[in-house]
Amino acid sequence: MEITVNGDAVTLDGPLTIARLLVEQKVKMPDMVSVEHNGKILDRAEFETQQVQSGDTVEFLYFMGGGA
Amino acid sequence: MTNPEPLLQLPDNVVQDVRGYRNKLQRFLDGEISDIAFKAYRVPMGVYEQRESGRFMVRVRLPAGLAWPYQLRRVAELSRQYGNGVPHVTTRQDIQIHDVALSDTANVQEGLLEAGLSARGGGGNTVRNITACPTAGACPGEAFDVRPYAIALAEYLLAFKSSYNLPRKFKVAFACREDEDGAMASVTDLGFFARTRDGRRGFKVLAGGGLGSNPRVGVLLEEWVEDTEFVAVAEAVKRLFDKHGDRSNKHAARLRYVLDRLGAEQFRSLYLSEREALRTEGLAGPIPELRPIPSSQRASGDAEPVEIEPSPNVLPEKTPGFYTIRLNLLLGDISADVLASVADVAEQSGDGLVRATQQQDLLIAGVPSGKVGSVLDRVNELGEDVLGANYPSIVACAGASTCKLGLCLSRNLAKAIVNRMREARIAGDKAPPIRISGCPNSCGNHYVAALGFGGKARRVEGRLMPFYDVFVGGVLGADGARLGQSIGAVPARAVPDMLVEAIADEGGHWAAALEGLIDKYAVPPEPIPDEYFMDWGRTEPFSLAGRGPGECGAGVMDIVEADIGTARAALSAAERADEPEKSSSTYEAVIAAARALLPLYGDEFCKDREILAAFDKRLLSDGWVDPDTRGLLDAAVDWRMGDSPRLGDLLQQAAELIERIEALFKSVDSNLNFRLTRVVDSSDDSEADDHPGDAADNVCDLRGVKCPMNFVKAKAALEGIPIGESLDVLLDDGEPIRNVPASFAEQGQTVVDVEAAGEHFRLRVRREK
Amino acid sequence: MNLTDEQLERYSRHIILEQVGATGQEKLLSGKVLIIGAGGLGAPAGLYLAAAGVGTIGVIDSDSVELSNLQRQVIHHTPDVGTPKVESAAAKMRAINPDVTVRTYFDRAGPDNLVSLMSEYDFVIDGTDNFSSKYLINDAAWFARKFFSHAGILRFSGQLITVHPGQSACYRCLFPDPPEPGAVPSCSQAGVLGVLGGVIGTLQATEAIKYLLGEGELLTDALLTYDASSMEFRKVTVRRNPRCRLCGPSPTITSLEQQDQAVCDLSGSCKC
Repeated sequence: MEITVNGDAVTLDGPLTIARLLVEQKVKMPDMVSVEHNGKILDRAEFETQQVQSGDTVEFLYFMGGGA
Repeated sequence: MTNPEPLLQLPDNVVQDVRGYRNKLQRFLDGEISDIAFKAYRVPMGVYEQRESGRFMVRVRLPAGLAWPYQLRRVAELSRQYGNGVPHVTTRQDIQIHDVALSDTANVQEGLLEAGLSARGGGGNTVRNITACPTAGACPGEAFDVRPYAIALAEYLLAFKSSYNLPRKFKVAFACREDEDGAMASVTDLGFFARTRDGRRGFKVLAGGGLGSNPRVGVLLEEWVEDTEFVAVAEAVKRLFDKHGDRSNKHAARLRYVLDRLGAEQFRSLYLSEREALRTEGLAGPIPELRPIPSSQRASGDAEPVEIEPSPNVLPEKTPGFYTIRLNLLLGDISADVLASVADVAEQSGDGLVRATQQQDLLIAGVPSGKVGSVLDRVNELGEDVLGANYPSIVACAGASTCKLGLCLSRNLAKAIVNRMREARIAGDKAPPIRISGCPNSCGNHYVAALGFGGKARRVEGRLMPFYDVFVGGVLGADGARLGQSIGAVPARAVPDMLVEAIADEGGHWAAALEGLIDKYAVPPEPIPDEYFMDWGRTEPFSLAGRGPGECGAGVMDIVEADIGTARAALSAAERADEPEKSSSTYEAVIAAARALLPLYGDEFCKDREILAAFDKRLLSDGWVDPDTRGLLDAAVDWRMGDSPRLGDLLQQAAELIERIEALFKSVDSNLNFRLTRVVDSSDDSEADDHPGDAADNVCDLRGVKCPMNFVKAKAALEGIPIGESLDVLLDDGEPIRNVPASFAEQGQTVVDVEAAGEHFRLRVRREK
Repeated sequence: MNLTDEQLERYSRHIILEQVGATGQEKLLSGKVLIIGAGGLGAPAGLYLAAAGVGTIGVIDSDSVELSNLQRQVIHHTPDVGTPKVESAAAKMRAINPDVTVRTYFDRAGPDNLVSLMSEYDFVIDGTDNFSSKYLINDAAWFARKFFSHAGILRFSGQLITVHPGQSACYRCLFPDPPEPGAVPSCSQAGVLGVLGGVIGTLQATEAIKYLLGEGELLTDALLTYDASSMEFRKVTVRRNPRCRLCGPSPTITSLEQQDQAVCDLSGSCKC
């Protein structure tokens, strides 16, 4: 299936969960990511359950605590 | 025979400036210099564009009114070769070459320079020609010869760049005595009156005088200064003017407005502090040498002395046995050939010089009595250009034929007077010296004449008629100079007849006779002959078309007032009347109110429909009156067309309209702009360029400020005024004038006007947001 | 207010701009911006805001300048090591522009002082370096109803978003679940390219200036991310989260004091 991740077209076997997508996309520290799925911010608890379908848009928003 | 040295030794900077003219002209013709920038350059170079012909006039300064014959021959030659062949003597002792193609102006400039003449400072905000009594040096009553002083002062002032960038023009005149003012020094920016004290030479000094639309006699600055102080006095006054002249408003920039604003006391004290400063600082340059005017005057033994009967054209001189011959020119015009002949006569018969006069005549002085007869003979052979003794002395401004500001054709009136007097076989010297201006501005100096006429317009039976205000009693002089007083106004067509009747008065009391006649002539005969509605020399009805709003528009004020009066009268008639008269009076009031202010825009309409359309365009659409007025106008048209039975119900709205029109009229400033603000802000009217309301009370002088700081400051100033109002910004030539208006336009502001003002520019920009 | 000749000259490049002009400059001069944290983000923000003529700039920070700060905190200079950051920063801002009133708070931004402090300013710049502060500022801005610019930098990346409390997505809308304490590397652990603070802090100052001017579109409901390695900016459109614990319709955070247990403790354990 074709989805868009962080603005890039990605082809994957699917459907799959957000948690699985984080693994497939080799996100190193998934604890440090907030996920917007089709424009909606997910609770972390939803990562295991939310299915990603063909044509979906996913944005990984990274925590960035730095500033000093 | 070698030519004598020019009387005025042109300073190097003037010579350089003139030599640079051709290059600058070429760059303009090549498109490297903008129209406006070139205009700003050429006007102070003495080159003016003529309004009708699209050609140019070069104004040549004759210092103290003096020229050597070879110099006049050169003027004649240049006029023949490049101009219309008719040089013109001005009221300030200049001589002008008219109808020169722009591309030929460089040839004229260089040709003049070869003869030691220059037009530099002939126009613009500069030190203009320094004039003197035309008979100075020969005048029987003179204190001493002032001509060397006038020439030396010109040499001094012309050498400084600051003399070409003053707030407005600056005129200096030298009178050779106190009791008569042949130089008009009492009504000029700076006037010197020669006097002596214990055998020493000195001057009485007046300053702040001037003519124009707001004439005044100068105030006394110095009762007595030693003659050696004359440069310091002039420098001090020039500095005072430079510092305090209002550069923001060219209509109130002359020195006399500084005097009006400060009052005589403060004006004098500022002058004294400038003098004081000069005492410590010293003058900016050396005082040029006072050179006696050379004279080729022959001993009277050349010819047997004879008895001469003085006349207006033959004036006795201070040296017994010598005479000055006056060549009476009609309105200062003389053909090039005749001018060259005059030069020959002067070379052979007089003191070798030709003098131009404030009456636009020429003089040949120093003629021994024995030669007077032969000179007069030769003069009589010169033809019609030089009028005989039977012609009155008349001075007239250019008038409405060439002056955009003019109302009446002043030169045509002058000719009509001459013709009428000839018909009536009245000797010219019976008439007092006459001065005519085509509008209330006194370019023809009508305020300072024994008899003066100032053009204006009036409405008679709903149509415009050219009129003249009649002034009598103007007197010049160091003491007791006064402006003429208006004794009434008569139609232009009635002026020659009235004058002839007054002069015919047997006791010679023309002035008293005139006062008795004026009421009779003020009212046109019934039925009014058509020609009364036409100006002299014209066969079409008199109109204001083509008269731009300008200070001369002051001549239409009477008309506006009359229309407002008509509106008010109709309104009060409507208030008292019952229908249907109530409606018809209301209608009349609305039309009169709508028409009242249109002359300020140069509009003049007779048909109601045209009046309403023009009112809509000029005042309603432009936001000057309440938008609801449109409903009133529509109702008026409906009533007129019979589509609605009554208009009287709208009496109150009509009253409010008249109220507003009157308030707008009262707010008109000297530039014919409304000082009131618009009821509605209208911003996108491309015709707004010359509208009332674009007057900028707000001025920002950014001369000397470089890009982009000038834009920064101008923009900040613009943001400081309400939307819809305008700001005047004074900018330097070059980058500033190229950039700043364009920057405002880019940012959505309206550039109302860019105008050259001497060597800088005045940008008027309206705040749109 | 009338600009002096000196001000006209100093701010000439602003005044020339159609969107600024003298009127806009006057808005800046009467504007008040609070910078929380005088570090990598706060340093360029403070310098540019002072240069721009923002009339009142508040700086709150409880730290003193350390040598390791100088690689990126350009408002502090070598001789400043050891002096309170607020003092060091204020001196530079005043030196740049004497028009600016700098208020310094040598203090830690906490739940006790932040809402009242924010209420004295028009706009807030979050230049802090830890999650607890970032959540705290987000929440305080909500209670103070203050516009603020959130930002973070890390390694070769940075991001920012402007929050119009109650109207646009807040930090908690995007990051509803704070990371576990210690799970997220702060800059002390991960390092940061020095210029990142310059890039992102300057963008924050830009937002503050736009806000004061009332010009342009603020970066609301969009997270702008910057990747210095690929030299890519991305604008990720976001929207308010209906389940937001702070600004959603059923909030669970109703006072500032409640939020601290949700993130790492506020005593400073995850500071650089």
